[in-house]
Amino acid sequence: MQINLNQISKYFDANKAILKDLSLSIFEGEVLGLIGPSGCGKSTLLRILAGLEVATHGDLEIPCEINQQTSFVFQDPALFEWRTVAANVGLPLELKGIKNSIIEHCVEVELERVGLLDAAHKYPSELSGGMRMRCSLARALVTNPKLLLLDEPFAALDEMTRDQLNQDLLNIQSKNKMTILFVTHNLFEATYMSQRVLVMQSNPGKIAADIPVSLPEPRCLDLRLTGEFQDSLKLVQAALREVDK
Amino acid sequence: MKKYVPSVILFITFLLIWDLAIRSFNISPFILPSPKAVFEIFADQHQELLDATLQSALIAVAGFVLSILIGTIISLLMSQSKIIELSIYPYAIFLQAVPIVAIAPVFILWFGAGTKSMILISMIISLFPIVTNVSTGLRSIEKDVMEMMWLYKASRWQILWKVRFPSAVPNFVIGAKTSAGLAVVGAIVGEYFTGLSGESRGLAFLIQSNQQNANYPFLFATSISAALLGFIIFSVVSTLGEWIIKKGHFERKVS
Ligand SMILES: Nc1ncnc2c1ncn2[C@@H]1O[C@H](COP(=O)(O)OP(=O)(O)OP(=O)(O)O)[C@@H](O)[C@H]1O
Ligand SMILES: [Mg+2]
Repeated sequence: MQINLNQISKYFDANKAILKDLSLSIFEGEVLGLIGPSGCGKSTLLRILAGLEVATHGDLEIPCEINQQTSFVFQDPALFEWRTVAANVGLPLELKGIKNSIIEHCVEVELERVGLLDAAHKYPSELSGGMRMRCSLARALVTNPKLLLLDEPFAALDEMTRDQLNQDLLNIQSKNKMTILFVTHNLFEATYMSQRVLVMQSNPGKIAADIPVSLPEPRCLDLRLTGEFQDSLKLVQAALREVDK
Repeated sequence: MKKYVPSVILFITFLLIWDLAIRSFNISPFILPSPKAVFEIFADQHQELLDATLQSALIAVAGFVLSILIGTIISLLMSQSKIIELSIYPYAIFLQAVPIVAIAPVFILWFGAGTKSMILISMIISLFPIVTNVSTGLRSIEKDVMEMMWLYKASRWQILWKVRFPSAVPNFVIGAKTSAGLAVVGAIVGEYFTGLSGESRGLAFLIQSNQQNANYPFLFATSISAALLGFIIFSVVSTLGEWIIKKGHFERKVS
């Protein structure tokens, strides 16, 4: 099962194509990093995949099951201040009308997974930035998504917290095997997380390079010090330089 | 308790200067009665003052509660339909700009010189802060949040209950605080217009009758009672509102 984008174009106004003839296939269980200059249309591409925007031309083939089970993580955690961590995480299930006892169980499992179980009864105002993001991540994961879209999810966090969350996300992915597409401005993060790094160019936005990153799995942070990693990183960096000219 | 010390000292100083001014400048009691005379009224006529204050308080509270109920319903309707909003909102603003003294006689003409009119006048004057604040709160939901709810396929009612209402609580409290003060003004102004022939025996009656009888210490004591009533109602609403916000974690997020 794969997702195909064929010759996708997006115009917000008739004169300027934000995305132009963009084609891309996303395979099941892949982790894809999306990088590119600011304003090239990365968020727009993600939003089209989520259904938040509609492509002007071209077609988007998403298998129905995947479409039904897509989660989106915004850069801002977008938590409800009046709900506890547990109630925030349970929200998507609550909206589906699922029984409370089941919600409680799912929430507990998810909080355990993102390491937030101790904070279950805290309110967002009592959390650090990293914890807020974990909570947002747990909310996205609680529905067991097949496709997880993240738009610069950890950009506002310090490096150590970001590394931690990257690692946690990789660990979760290695168990759940969901497909992940994430936007980032951080080359290390893109290279470390992804099986493929997609480099976008701007004006008009399209995929300029598609760089496979074959590194030993499971990945752990020490990998970043190896020569293999540096080689992949250089490739990604060169591709980004190319489009940024 | 410590934070009240400066204001209490200021109050005592104020009383002393008041008293001193009357003695040293020989101010006639018809212009400014002495603090002692006013205090004597509070001591001797406390029953009459208390009755009048309670009567006005009841009207103000009734008007305030009604304005909260009606104001919330109006805001709710406006948040659910653009057409309703576009048709009601201009009138809400317009009515807010009309001076209460211009509306009060009309209400008395329609509903009689009784409690009903006074409650309605108090309600009308305290309604708009609720409408403007609550409808702003119900409407201003961040784009991210709305998109998230859309992705979760939340229904209109779920969005209303789980997002709009809780988001609007801080705005509701701001509106209620303004409204509480105005409800007291409305209750007293309303009673003014029913005149001395009216059945009501609230603060406005006492103010008017003391004015006519030239009982100035009593007039002052009544005015002070009216000010105290406004202050107490505002403080209760304000404290209760802050408590709800704190207890329910409804504060608008800073990050
Ligand atoms: N709703 C919209 N209406 C009009 N123009 C839009 C809209 N959304 C995005 N754009 C435009 O589309 C272009 C791409 O925006 P997009 O947010 O996808 O870029 P991005 O690659 O995510 O940038 P960044 O790295 O800064 O987040 C920008 O020029 C932006 O102004
Ligand atoms: Mg973006």
